[in-house]
Amino acid sequence: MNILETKNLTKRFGGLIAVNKVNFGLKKGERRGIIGPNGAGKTTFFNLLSGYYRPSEGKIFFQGEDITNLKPFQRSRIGISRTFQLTNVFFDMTVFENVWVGANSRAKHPLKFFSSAKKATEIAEKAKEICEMLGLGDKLHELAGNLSGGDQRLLEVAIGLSTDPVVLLLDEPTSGLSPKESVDLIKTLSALPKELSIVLIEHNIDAVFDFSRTITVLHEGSIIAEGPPEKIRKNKKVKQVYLGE
Amino acid sequence: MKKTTALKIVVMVILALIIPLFKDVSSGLLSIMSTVLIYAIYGMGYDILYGYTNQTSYGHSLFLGLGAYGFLLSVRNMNADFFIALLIGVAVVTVAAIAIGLFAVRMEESYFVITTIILVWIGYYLAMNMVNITGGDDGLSMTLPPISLGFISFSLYDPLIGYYVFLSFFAVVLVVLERIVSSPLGKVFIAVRTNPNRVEFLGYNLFYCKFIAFVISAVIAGLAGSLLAVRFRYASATYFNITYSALPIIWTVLGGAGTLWGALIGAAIYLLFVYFVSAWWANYLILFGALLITVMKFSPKGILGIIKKKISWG
Repeated sequence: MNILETKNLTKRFGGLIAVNKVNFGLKKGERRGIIGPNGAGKTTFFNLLSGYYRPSEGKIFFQGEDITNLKPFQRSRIGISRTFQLTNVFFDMTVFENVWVGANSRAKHPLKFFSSAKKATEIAEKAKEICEMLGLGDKLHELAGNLSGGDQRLLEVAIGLSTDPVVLLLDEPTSGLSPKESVDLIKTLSALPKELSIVLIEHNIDAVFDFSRTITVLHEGSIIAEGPPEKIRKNKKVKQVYLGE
Repeated sequence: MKKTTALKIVVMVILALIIPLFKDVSSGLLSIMSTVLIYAIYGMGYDILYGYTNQTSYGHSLFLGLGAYGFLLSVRNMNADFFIALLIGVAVVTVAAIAIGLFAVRMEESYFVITTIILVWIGYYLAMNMVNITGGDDGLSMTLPPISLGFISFSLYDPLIGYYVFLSFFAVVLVVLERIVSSPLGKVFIAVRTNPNRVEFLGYNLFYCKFIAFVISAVIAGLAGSLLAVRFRYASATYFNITYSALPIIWTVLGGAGTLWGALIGAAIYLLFVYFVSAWWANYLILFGALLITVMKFSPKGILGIIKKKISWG
């Protein structure tokens, strides 16, 4: 059974159809890449999955349940986590606090108001672990706004991981990273627990083909191809619209 | 001990022990300091809204006025005891804050500002027109009930006792709010201020977080209103005026938003201008405005921002 599924998912902005009748299925533990030229509707698709936009038509199912009408915070609570293409962290807070906020949302009482936040040691440990995993361990107390662009991208992923997701939606995590940092990040992502399902939007073709066992190609809002990387590389239509051959 | 903790203790010692020494030298000082403390309570509550969750309300004089009249009318009409009157004042404000917050907090940014401005004008004109209840512009006065703690009772007519009562409320509000801002809720507030959109994607109900901050700040404003009625033995419809909504914004910006203590500094400087600078120049507000703009220009985090740079504030 698919853990995340869309049926005829469509989003129109006036006359523009950004996402057009997309039927998408993701299995538990799957590592999926989504590619497509600029304006293909990749980010809009994520915005629909994470609840930022309401679809014009179609439905979204998570673990068999219709979640089309759930708000972003409700989708986060059931286990859908996303990162953003444009860095969207808490710039005035430290690296640790950024990840702590996400981890704290899974505490038994996330909005406790009369005990010190410092007492919640389990959450602090978890936040530190995630930071270390992404190589931010020595920058825990630096303000996110003072980090280099690359480190901010890593923090973006760290925040995405902090909410114990079942499905993680990564929107171009390697953009702005150096080639070496990209390789490291993809390695880190590949080493994440097997049961975690990941959808990766990427322009970095090598990274996405390394990472995913299945690739979905979007073009003008529709899925034009889907399959293992080697088949996608050979697909004529894909070559035409995307790989520019 | 942290330098900041030491500084906080010094300020509290000055407030609790040094200032009362001047009660005979200059009896006006105690009354002015009483007002500073009440304004500081109002400002600290406002800081939870503005400084911690970045919601700029121009409507908090509505809660200040309701708190003042809740207290005053309970005393006048029901002969209520001090704490009962206070409880009624705060309860009225809590109900109003929940009712208003449920729709106003859903408005975002400038829409929220405009909504609160409209509400405060409605409140002001209602208060001005319901002369038989509020006394309108002239207001109403009351006979202060004594504070009775079982076996002893204090008369609030003694300025020194009044001062200590206000100082106690200031200390309690400060401790409660400091606990809140260092709790998980307080950290989430800061996240809301920094990036509300991302907070929602991390599984927090953004509306609910902003709503809690709104209600907390409104209830504290109501408490300050009740205390203001006690301080002047009087309340008038002018408490509902939008000027009283703008003041806590000015205090927190001047002293330092998101610090709680900034409100005390801002309120103290403001009253310094009102009571002393005004004596030698009637247009003292021009100077105050210049000071405000200068501070905003050079230290966006207010006067505490400057101090923080000097001593690395905790």
